Amino acid sequence: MPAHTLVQLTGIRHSYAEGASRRRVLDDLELTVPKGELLAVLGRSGSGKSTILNLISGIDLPEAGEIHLGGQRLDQLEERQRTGVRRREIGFIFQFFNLLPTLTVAENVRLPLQLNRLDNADSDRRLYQLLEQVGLAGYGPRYPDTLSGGEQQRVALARALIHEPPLILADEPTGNLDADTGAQVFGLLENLVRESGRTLIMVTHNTELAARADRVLRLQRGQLTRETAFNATV
Amino acid sequence: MADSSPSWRNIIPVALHWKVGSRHLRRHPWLIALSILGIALGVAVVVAVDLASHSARHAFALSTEAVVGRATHTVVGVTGTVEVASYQRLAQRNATLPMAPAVEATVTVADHPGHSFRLLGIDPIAELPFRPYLAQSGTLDPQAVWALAMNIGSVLMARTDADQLGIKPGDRLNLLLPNGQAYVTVAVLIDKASEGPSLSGILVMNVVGAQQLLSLENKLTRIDLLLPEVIGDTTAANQLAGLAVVLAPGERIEPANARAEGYAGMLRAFDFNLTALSLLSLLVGMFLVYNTLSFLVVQRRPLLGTLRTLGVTQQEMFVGVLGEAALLGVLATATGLVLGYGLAEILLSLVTRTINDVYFTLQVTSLHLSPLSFTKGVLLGIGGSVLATVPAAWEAAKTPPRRVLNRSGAEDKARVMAHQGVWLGAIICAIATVLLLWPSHALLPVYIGFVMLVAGISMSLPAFALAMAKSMDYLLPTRWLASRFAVRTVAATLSRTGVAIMALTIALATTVGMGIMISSFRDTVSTWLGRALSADVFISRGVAAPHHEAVLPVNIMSQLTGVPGVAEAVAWRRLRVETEYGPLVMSGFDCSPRVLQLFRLRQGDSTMAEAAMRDAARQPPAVLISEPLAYHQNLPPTSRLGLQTLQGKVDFEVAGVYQDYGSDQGRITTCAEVFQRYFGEVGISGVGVFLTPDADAEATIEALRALATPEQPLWVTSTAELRSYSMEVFDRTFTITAVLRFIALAVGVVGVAGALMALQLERTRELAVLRALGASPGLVGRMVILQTVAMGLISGIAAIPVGLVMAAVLTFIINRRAFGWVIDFSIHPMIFFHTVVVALVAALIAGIYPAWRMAQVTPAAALRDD
Repeated sequence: MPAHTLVQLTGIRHSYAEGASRRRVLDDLELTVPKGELLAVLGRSGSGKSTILNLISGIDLPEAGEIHLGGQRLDQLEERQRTGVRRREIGFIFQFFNLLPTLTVAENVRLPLQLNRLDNADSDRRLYQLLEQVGLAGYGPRYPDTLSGGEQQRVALARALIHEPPLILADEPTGNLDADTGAQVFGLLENLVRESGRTLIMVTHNTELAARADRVLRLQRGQLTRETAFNATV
Repeated sequence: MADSSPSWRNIIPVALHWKVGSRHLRRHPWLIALSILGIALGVAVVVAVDLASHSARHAFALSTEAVVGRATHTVVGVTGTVEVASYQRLAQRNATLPMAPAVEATVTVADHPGHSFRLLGIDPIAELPFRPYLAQSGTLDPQAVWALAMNIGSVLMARTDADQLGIKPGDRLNLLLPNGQAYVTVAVLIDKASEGPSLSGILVMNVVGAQQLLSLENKLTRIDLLLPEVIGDTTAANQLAGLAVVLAPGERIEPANARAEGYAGMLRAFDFNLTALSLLSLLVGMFLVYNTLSFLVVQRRPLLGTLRTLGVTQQEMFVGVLGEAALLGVLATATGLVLGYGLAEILLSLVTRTINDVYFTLQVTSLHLSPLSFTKGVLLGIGGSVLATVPAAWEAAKTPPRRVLNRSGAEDKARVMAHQGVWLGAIICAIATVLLLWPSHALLPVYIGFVMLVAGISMSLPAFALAMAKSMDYLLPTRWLASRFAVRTVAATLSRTGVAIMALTIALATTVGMGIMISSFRDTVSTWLGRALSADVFISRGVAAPHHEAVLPVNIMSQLTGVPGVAEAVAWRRLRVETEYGPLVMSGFDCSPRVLQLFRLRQGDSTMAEAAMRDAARQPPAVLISEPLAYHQNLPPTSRLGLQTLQGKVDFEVAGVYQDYGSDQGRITTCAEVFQRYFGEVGISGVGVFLTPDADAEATIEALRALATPEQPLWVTSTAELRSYSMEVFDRTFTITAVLRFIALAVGVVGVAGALMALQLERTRELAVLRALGASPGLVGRMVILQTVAMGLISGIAAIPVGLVMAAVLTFIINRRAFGWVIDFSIHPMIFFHTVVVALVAALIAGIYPAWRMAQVTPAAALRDD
């Protein structure tokens, strides 16, 4: 894998059980993502977009093919090792925010640091700086159920970035927000990712958001194809 | 136009609810399984206790019916025997009146320890009108039965008993009798007739043979009479009075069932306590039912909310939820009845053993299936399930669809209810306290008060859990992510965790309460035994036969004083006497100052009591009575107690009330002179031997044992052995309690496991997010386990004060009212440690499977499912 490549998927096949039969969602899929790229993946519901993120993060394993992440062959690692990679190398952003309701905003954001045993005196400074960056200064002691959808997704952004992972995976990050809030949140995400030179892989239905990516791919019949209409504008 | 009728309009949405709801439940079979198990265990305990108690009572009734037969009246004597001459005089007085002599005693088969029989000696010729079932021997010619029965030394026995013991006709049985031991031959085995009582537990022989075996020359145990049924009260009274004049002093005529009722009455408190214990298990079970069914509602709030939004009415929702509960109740009850039957088999042997140890000899060979016991189980299982669901069904029906869809609404409400529960609980506890402390001897109000107290305390437990979880969260270091996450979840999901904590706390508190009560009781009995058993050696006829029937050889005292090392021998006589309160054991002691000191008076002046007791000529004669008798019959010092004596009914004065734990009916004690004056010379029941200071105890005991012969066996035991035996009986008595405590705890563990499983199912997505963020399966499993541990810890800590309150009520109020005993409260601090450990272990057990299951959750699948 070339040194400037962060993620590489080759010959990926994956299917899901549907009653007695199986439905193939990824079929000889190929994907190479260079470091620092902001990549958008479009596709219809059920086309397998989220599956690509699950495979890249090691949550799921392919039936065939290779997954390389930062020089490691992810699909050959044990579950424990894959969890470790995910913990260190990846920040996750979900459509439904998925904040833990029993933890405060600060505790939710701090979670990846604690999982990585990086929670030290310096982490508080980093935490409050990040909360300020996402516009939630002073929200630390509050619980998720007291926040609006947009605020919750900003907490999720902070949580995805706090441990400074090289790769951010975003699954419909604005899918549960109205258009204006979605645009604000994505703007924030884009800035934070670009400023820090991280890589973002985002799956979405939203063509306007996708248009702001460095590259846009469409998932169709299990394979990724370059979306020329978008890339022409980039 | 059927579709337009209101009933059809109602059925369709309810059916829709059922269809949707049942499919949801089918996807979570473990939730159904745990719900059914929880309810089933509660039902099983109640059914098992009821079946076991009922079977014991039924066996007693059958045995009594078999022995009493059709007799309407019985002639009995104060010393336990009547003269043969009285029988002859009665026959002369009224030649046409059917009457039959009988000799009865409890015997044990030497080769089959633990198998006691009622030996019934009858006159085969006079017998037929009384116990005709003896001749219904199935295939055998009745003439042959009687011919064999005429042989002295032969016995008839039930074929069922013979089969159980492997006995065949012609076999010889070595019987341990109250006065020695002897061999009898089994002549005929009797098959149970299709109708009528069974001979099970009875050995029938010729009355003459029985007299010889039991050394009852010219004596009978009783005379059965068969007075005509249709006679007026006055005629009957006149006829009885006419018969009574020919009886010897101390003999009287009483209704045939009077004595049986007296014996049956002894079991009332025992039965009541067993029932109460089983109800405590059911209470824990009801918590579980409530917990489980609340879960089913809470967990499906979005589903139910959607149904409500789509047009299912409040009434339809309510009926639908209750219908589900009823269906679960039916399945659980069916399981509970089967489990209850199995458990009853175990409990029956424990109940029978306790009755034999503490009350009287009773052989119960099989369970008697009572439809009433099963009906109780059905009502409790199905009715309890439906009742326990009413609050949840009401909530599901009443909450607006918008709020039903909102999960945080349930938690807000749970928190408000937790705070309201404290106040409501306090009011219930106050009413319970009034019921418990109300001056009365009745048992039912204190049981109601006890259950209310437990319920009242339970209502404040969610608030306690909330406060504890918050305190733990505050105290835990910030870095302990998993632990803080765990305790926060307990608080944040109070609608699910609260009731589970209640169930486990009550189960644990029951263990603490019963544990402290039993250990207090044990310590008190042990201290009492140390005082009461102050002689060095005890001699009696043996422990196999009820001691009040056993008599030592007449020359025993002179033999004992001749043994080297013996300083003093104190004899006592014991007799079951008839009182206005039923049959009671009365003892006559050699009243030396040393002996009188053994009685620790709880009421009355010891100096005055001693003087009154030693005055044989005193009128009225003085007796000491034990606490249970004084309490139950309200007999303080100076009150009068009427006893049937050789001189007719005599009022005795209560000189003092002493501490005694030997009988929950109570005992009466007097000095030997008074005893002999009113009851004659009945023979020595036991002797306490004091050794000289320089005596070699072991050698002296051996020398005393050497006085025994095969014909005249003696049971010689040291104080230490007797004490150990007594404590063994004590512990045996509480085995059944231990079984029921264990079941209550098991029900609690099932409750927590069920709660956790349901909770973790709800949190699958939350835990999947953690996994996606990089939490390992181990960490997720640890979080689940830590949550159960937090629930266990909260329950364990709460169970200590709750258990102490339960122990105090059980020890000072319930035990006092049920048995009349005053028990010194003693607490072994280790019980608190044990409770917390048991709570944590129970919680761990409950959490292992949910933890494993949650650790196995595939984040991709869990996130995709949402």
